[in-house]
Amino acid sequence: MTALAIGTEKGGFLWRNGELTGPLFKGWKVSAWGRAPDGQYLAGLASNWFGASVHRSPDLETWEQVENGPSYEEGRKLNQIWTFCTSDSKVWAGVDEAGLFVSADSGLSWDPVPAFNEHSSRGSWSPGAGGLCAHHVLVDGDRIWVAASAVGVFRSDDGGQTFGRYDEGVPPGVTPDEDDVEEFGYCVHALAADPSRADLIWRQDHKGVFRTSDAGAHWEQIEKGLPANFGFVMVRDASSGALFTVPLEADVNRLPVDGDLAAYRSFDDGDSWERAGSGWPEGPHFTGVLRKSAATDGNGGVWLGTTGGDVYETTDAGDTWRALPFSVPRILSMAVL
Amino acid sequence: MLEPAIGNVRTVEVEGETLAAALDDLMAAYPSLRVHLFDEGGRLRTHVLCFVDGHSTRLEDSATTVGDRTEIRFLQAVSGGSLPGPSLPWSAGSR
Repeated sequence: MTALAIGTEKGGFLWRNGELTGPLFKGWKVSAWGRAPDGQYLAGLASNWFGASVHRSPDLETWEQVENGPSYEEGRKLNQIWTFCTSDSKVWAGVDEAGLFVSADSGLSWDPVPAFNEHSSRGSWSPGAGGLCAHHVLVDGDRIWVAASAVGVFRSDDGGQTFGRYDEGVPPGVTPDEDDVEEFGYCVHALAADPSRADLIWRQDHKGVFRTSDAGAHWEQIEKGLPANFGFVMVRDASSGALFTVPLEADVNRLPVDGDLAAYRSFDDGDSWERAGSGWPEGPHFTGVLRKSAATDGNGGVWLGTTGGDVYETTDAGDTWRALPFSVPRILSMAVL
Repeated sequence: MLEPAIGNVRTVEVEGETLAAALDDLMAAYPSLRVHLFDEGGRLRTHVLCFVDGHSTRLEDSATTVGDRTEIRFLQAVSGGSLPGPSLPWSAGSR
């Protein structure tokens, strides 16, 4: 691991070799981290006043804003970069207002993806509490999944030329009263794919925890052992096969059940879950983990950043956890770079 | 917050006989600044203020004449709180 990058409401921080450095980008929200095909590091910045932008760095020390970042024409606002996903020679970015952009030059310039951004269903898209955002992008060759809150999961099988909707088996967030009106508002919170089998995907949704083994064609609910089915996190550790989520009581009380902040882990692809290991805080902790505030190195290392600014670390796939020795502002994003 | 977009300084000199020309010169020299000052419609962002020699303007009259010593300042309008409703990007909902 070069660094654990931590994006907060008030700047970015780097945890390297037992030392915290930062804040980077003072005063800015750091909402996404990534690594471009040319090796440059990427950061997505946002401000309530000054818009959103993409920055690149060769060394995590010096950063430069790209001139041709993702942008919309008038009528739609680009409020925040939510995620970067690098695959082969391209970088994909999911943004708020919900949209998908792609860069073929390692993040220097970005083009909109019309098949997603102008999708035929867009008229029915409606924001959730976190905004109308495309927050997770998964890529496997020409197959691309995009998760948008509070809209649902979209999939392209042709490199982004067309997108279909893939929510079968998941209850909609909103069911219209009229029978002849399309259900809408599939409120996906997070996606994680099996690194060795891209069509095996787990989904933390507003309506529960789900799994698909056919690339999203069908979803099944998998919540045995969870204290609650609400939450925002889904992480797959490649080396151990462990899955992690952080349950919260309910949408109307987005806090750990009884203040018991802990990850829950599954070793059977989500068939059953148990409280993950030891090392969690002994006293009540009424903080949560947001959807992009989880990271894994794929080798047993998992990091969860809380809304209270703490980071919990495991390096043994969830058997033992510790709070890292610092506190930062509300954590919005994390990545192992 | 915008210093990195103009070379990590707070003040730069620009050329132009009108406010519009001066801003065009500024954007040509520092293109990364544009997204921070102007919205998708090319208007001054809601919470960005522009003062010309101490007078606030929303850039309604970009033909305003400027001279060699005219000072154009961009400031952040600090505003607190938020309106109810989930559609605001700064609303306090969970992500």
